[in-house]
Amino acid sequence: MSRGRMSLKKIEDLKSDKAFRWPDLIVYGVIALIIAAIFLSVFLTRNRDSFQGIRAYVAGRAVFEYDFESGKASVLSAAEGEVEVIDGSPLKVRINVDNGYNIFEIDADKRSVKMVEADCVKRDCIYTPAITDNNGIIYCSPHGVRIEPFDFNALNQYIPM
Amino acid sequence: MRAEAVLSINDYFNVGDAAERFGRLCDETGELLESIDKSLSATDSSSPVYRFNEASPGEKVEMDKTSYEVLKSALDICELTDGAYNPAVYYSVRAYGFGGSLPYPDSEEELPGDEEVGAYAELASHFKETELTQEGVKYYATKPDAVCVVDGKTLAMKIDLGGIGKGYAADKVNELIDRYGFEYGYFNFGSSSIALKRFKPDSGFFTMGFTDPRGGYYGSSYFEMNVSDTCVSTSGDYEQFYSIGDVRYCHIIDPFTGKPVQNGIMTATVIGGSAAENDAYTTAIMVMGAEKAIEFIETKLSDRQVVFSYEGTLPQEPESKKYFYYTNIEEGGYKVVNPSKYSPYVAGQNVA
Repeated sequence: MSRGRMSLKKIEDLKSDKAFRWPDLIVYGVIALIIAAIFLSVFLTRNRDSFQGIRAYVAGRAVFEYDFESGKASVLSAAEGEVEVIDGSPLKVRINVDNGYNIFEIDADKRSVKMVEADCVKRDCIYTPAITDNNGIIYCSPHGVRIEPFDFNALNQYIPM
Repeated sequence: MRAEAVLSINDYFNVGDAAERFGRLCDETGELLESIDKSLSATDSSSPVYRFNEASPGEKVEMDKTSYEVLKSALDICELTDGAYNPAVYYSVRAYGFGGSLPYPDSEEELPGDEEVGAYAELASHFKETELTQEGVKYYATKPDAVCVVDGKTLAMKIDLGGIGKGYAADKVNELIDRYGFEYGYFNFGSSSIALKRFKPDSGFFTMGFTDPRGGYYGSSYFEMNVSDTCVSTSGDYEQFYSIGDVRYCHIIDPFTGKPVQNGIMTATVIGGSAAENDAYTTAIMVMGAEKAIEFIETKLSDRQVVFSYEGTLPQEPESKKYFYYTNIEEGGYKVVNPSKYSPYVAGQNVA
């Protein structure tokens, strides 16, 4: 009889307990903060500092460059009307060639360059992922327009498979 | 035969006509891949492979040169591997939920029954009876005169050349790269078939990392080696699969049983020769299981470098799953990334 009463008491105690005690909540909160901090530290400090800027070429000739460090856009040895820089954020650059045009956007905050408009037939350049590090390149074959980072790594020597 | 294709070339594009040649190479590569896909597609009604699949048993079907060449390679390798490579597992692939848009089964009740897959396996065994003929500039394939009956439906044999097709495409792009005069770079088709040149003049090799199939995170590798001027193909059970309970069902079908392979081999990689042949060899190795695969590698693939990963147990620890690797590459020619996780496979001692 006495054993049964003690079990019932324990059950009543458990029932009256809250789902979470304050010390438990504090521990869970600290763990969650640590996880968030680790995630943010890995994500935010990933090294893209080496991606300094991009250069645009027409038929192998450098016509434009943008330096993320200085924020400076420079038209290089381009023919009259070949390169138009359209101010704004993101910055837009239009390259005019004999058989059409390409427009790419430079997002200085995100250090990202993307082809956004072109009148080539297939528009493969528009579907190419944005350049966000030294490994990316955007190439419009019909127009001979190429955009690549200053320190372009043409190849990664390591290939995962 | 849709997959991500990456063509990577290293050259001085600001010198001579390299940029212009690269542009033409890219264009021709795109056209070539479209053309190969049209020839080998099992879903495009204008494809010779589709027409072969829809044909009646015993019917003679006109193919094109590409589908004829790939089908010939498939038949040759089916014979060389004693049927372990067999592209006629079409029905089993789909019965287990692969190759289509339906969701994977999530219970044993949804899996096909033994009688059904047994019928598919018996039908697939007739693949080697396919006859290829060439009449002038025309190519033909005569379908085996075999059927199976499942749920009251009579089914004729169907094939899927997608696996070997990626390797065939890699080989053809490799030839294009040569024709356009580039020596440094690679073509990667779906990360399962790669044709490699050299890295660059002062560093001739690439370092390949083969994915750890039980790595737990994207990009981890279990085995690394340096390669150049060669072709590499890999098959594995870690990308297209589902689990029901503790059992993993992957897209690689054992043509002898009609069921997904479950013999312990997790991945197989073959280096050297042609990518198309390597594609078929890796599939065959996955089907053979470790002991037969080692015998096959040592007797018939001595001109290739081969690696496979294996999940099994040791006799003294039957409850504990362990990971092993096999390779015929000489020591010093590779690196095991995590030797505390992957041990050398020992014939006769490891059990799946």
